Amino acid sequence: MIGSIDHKVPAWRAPLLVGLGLLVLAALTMFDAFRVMSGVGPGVGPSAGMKLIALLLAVLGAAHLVQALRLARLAAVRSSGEKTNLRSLAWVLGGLVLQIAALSVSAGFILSSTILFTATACGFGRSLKSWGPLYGLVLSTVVYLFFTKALSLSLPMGPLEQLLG
Amino acid sequence: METLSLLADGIWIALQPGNLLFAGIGVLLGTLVGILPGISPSLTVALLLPVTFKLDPTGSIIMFAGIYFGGMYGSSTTAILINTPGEAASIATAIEGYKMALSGRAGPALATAAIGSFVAGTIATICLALLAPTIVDLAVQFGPWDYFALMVVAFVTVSATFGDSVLRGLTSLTLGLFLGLVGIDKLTGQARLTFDVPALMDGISITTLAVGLFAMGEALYVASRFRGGAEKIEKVSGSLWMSKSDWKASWKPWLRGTLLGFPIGALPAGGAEVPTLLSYTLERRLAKNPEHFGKGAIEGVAGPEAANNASATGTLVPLLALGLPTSATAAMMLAGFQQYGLVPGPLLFTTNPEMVWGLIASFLVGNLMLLVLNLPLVGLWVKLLAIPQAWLYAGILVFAAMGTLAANPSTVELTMLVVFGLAGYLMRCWDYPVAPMIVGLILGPMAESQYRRALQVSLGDYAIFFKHPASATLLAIAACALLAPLVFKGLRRFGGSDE
Repeated sequence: MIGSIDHKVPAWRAPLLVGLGLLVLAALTMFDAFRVMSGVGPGVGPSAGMKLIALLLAVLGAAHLVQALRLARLAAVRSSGEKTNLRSLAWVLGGLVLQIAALSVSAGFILSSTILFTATACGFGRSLKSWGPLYGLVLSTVVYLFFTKALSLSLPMGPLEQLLG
Repeated sequence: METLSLLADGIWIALQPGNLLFAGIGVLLGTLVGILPGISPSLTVALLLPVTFKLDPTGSIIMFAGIYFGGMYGSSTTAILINTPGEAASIATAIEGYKMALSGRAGPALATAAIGSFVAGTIATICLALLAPTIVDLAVQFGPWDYFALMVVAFVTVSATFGDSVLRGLTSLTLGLFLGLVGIDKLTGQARLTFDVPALMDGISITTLAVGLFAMGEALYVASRFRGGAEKIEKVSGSLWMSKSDWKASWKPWLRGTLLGFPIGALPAGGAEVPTLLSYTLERRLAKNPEHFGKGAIEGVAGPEAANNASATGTLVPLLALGLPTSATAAMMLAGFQQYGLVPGPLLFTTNPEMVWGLIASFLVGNLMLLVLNLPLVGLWVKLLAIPQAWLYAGILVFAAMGTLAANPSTVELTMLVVFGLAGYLMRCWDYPVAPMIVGLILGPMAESQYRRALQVSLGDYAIFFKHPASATLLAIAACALLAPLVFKGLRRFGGSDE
């Protein structure tokens, strides 16, 4: 099937990835802790907490690696129940990335949210030609007006928002 | 007696027309969002946080309480009607409630859930009002070492004792503690883990993390499991009301559920799933006709629902009296307080008594309002369940993005939201609990400052944590709570169930 991966994955994969991630974070924290100057006076400075967390992260990372090793030796298989629908996942994530991109070129809240809404709807099986874009536009406009006018919060401005005043 | 007069003042505050309106709007909004499939009460609170940004503190916290109760009610409705418990605490409700709905008894199931929540919520709120001042009296004598030890207990119970894997719980907690380090150190003004990104100087926002982990994570997870099918909703047919025998079968489970839920919630043990499942098991054992269980026994809805609500109210005891959030929802409530620069804890009882008591009283009012508003509106709420997934999740994501942008209009913040969303997705895929991470982010910096304060007082002597009886006892409890699951179930439990 296109866009899906096999749902039987080796059980050691998740703990291996998590373990490596934790070790990277531990190294990062430890590295930064040595940059921070320790305070003066009695007690501990700002770097003590960082070193403690770095140590914890490293221990947990190592525990994950040990677990991964043990699972690999058992050749255990982890069944996630259902296959991952990569196509849907890509639509939703793509929508989020597009929204960030649209906001960074000052497209405004309404347009960028319409993009996000449409992409998510596509991820859930609606076609681009469905009512999705229109619903998204209406919803984003209503949300924008409600939160900026009724609750006087500020949301990113763009051409459409300037039209609405 | 002083407590009662304070509570009476609180009820007076909660009954002011403006505050009553806030409570009502909160209940309606909370139900509206909470009833959407897959949305837990904590997510409801997180998503609706921006609505309260510009209100006055008392009104907004009261509205918050309404949102919370509305969200819980909505969550149990979804559990009963479409067998989609939004949170672990509704699983027990879904077992029997859905079976009742299948056999055309959705009305009584919803009614026993609502009335049971009302009964439990009311009793638990009164217990909260009686218990909180006692704890506050105790807490004013606490030194920084005691607070630190208490937070260590909360860390351990939230992440290790009640999860199904100590390793995964601790990992989630430690990631939260790690995120709590980011930003400017309050005592020395030095930037930690910011890597010269200005947006990180203020630290990681609790709301961004919670909305990312819950809302984004959930949306991505559902998308990754999307098969194109629609969920089947059970029609609410037959009488909406409970018959005489339903009442007879329900009232004892309500009370027993309350008795189980409140103390477990009030201990810093986190999570309502323990008391709800305990209540379910208990009702099953006590039932006259145990063979009804699994086929739609009303006791199996009444007990767990009462336990759920009572334990939710119970978590407010450590939150209000000590400033300790022990569940994801309590963490979101704390975020609500923090947006006004208010710190829950013993001090708040003396500096803002009208607010604390107004809030406690508004739980009573909110519970009543829930009953009055929601039972007749069941038909309307059920229609919301028919919203197709595509529009539902698209709307949730737009709303989540809106909340983040309203709090901090920057694309960096939005990027963090997406990163947390991905983390939440992976954590769901790999069975890591999310709540410890949020508790870690909130309590981590607090624990660190208490720790440093204690060491300043003791001039750097670490023995101070063991010299004071309270902190020494609490640290011993924490050590036991961490080691108990390992000792009782063997070391295998450390790695979780999939070994």
